[in-house]
Amino acid sequence: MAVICRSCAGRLVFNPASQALECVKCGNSYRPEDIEDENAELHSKYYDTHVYICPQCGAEVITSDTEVSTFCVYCGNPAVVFDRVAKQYRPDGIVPFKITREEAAGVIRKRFMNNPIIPKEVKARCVPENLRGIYVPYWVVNAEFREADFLKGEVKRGKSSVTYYYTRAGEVRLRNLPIDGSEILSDDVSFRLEPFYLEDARTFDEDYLNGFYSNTSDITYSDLRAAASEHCHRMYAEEVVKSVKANNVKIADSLYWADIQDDPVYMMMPVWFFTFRHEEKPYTILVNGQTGRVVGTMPWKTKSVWAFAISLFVLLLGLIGFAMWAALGRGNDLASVAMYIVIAMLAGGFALTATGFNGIRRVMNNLKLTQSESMFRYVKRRQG
Amino acid sequence: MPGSAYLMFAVYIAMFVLSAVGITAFVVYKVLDKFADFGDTPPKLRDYTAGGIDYIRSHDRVPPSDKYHLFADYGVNPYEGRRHSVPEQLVKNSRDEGEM
Ligand SMILES: [Zn+2]
Ligand SMILES: [Zn+2]
Repeated sequence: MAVICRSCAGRLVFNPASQALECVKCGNSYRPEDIEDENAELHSKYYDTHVYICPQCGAEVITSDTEVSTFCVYCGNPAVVFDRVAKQYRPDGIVPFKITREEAAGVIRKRFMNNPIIPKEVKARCVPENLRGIYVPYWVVNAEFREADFLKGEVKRGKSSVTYYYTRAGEVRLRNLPIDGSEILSDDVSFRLEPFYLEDARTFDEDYLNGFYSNTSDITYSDLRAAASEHCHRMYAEEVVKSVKANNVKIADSLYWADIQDDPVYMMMPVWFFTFRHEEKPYTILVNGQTGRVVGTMPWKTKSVWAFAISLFVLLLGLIGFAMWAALGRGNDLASVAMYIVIAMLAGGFALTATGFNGIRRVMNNLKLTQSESMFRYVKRRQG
Repeated sequence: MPGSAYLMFAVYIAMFVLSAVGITAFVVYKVLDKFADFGDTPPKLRDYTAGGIDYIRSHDRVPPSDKYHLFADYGVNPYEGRRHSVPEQLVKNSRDEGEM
């Protein structure tokens, strides 16, 4: 592994902006593919890594770079302990980081501008030094998928609505579906990082890992098949519901299977992790290191949001009360306008209730997912 | 005022409160969605497939008992018994898991 500069023996770090390895001392740069392999025959199958273990959450943090500051990227614990040098199977490919650390912090901060609900102290934490780049292992698969669904939906019949039932069975072939290959990152989160564009993929070369952390795939083949079928099911369900012409269509019962074709491709995908603590809880916001897509839910100022909600509620109640009073008061044009306002607000209120509450519940769930305990499946590994 | 008028009044108030709650909930959701919840757009099937879904059964307005016919016909794994080559990393992971 080439981690040392040939002209000054300085440390080499991969720079996403130039897509080259750069010496931190003299600034010389090298293309990863130009650096010769010192032990080529071994490299055909394995590469060496330094494995660190977090004593707090048990996560394994892998880096080829011994000088990199090693705090736990999963739980924020400031000290991880060197555990061993390990040989890992070489992945087939890698999508190198394209978004730099500064750019990643920038895309998150852009979301903070003119943002009235994110606490100031959280905004202040988002500086490049608090971001860590990790190559997350993925399996890119081609798959066949079959699903059978029993659905129900409502159809308007005069003033009431009738529930009808529907059956669907279908098959679909998927190409280049990325499946998160690490136990620790929740699939509920990792699939939101998509898409990754495979046009940028290169043959794996560990030189790309310099300056970053990585992880190895620790799932089994049946885990992979299960994850693939869940991933397909999520996307399939969204489509199958649309094929039913009724309102409020729901899947009442379903069965599904996926079959992964031969030779899934083992790939490293670039992800920036921004981990911070807020009110005793760790949060992790992810940025796709290729596309700059931000995934995660920020904590908000609870008091401000409540104050806003209560004032809005009082205002609306006042408005509707006033309109009602105006409508009842006299029998002129103004009264009928006021009556329209009352009816519109009533209709609007009833129509938006479900969307509003379901939406809030969804955001709350996403917030919980961003809290690191649910985003990462921590494993208390035995040391030794 | 007769009792029924009081009742009407109470019903009106309840309706006003409910609709104000509904509108408020919706606005709060929109605010949180815009300012706090990032990247909540999951991938779509069409990103990974050229042809979309091939339906092998598609029946509308069926009796509830059709559920059993559906799962009798399509309730078994169609890929059962297919053998595939498994990448070494995954073979190793299964072995590691077996040891623990
Ligand atoms: Zn140098
Ligand atoms: Zn940790």
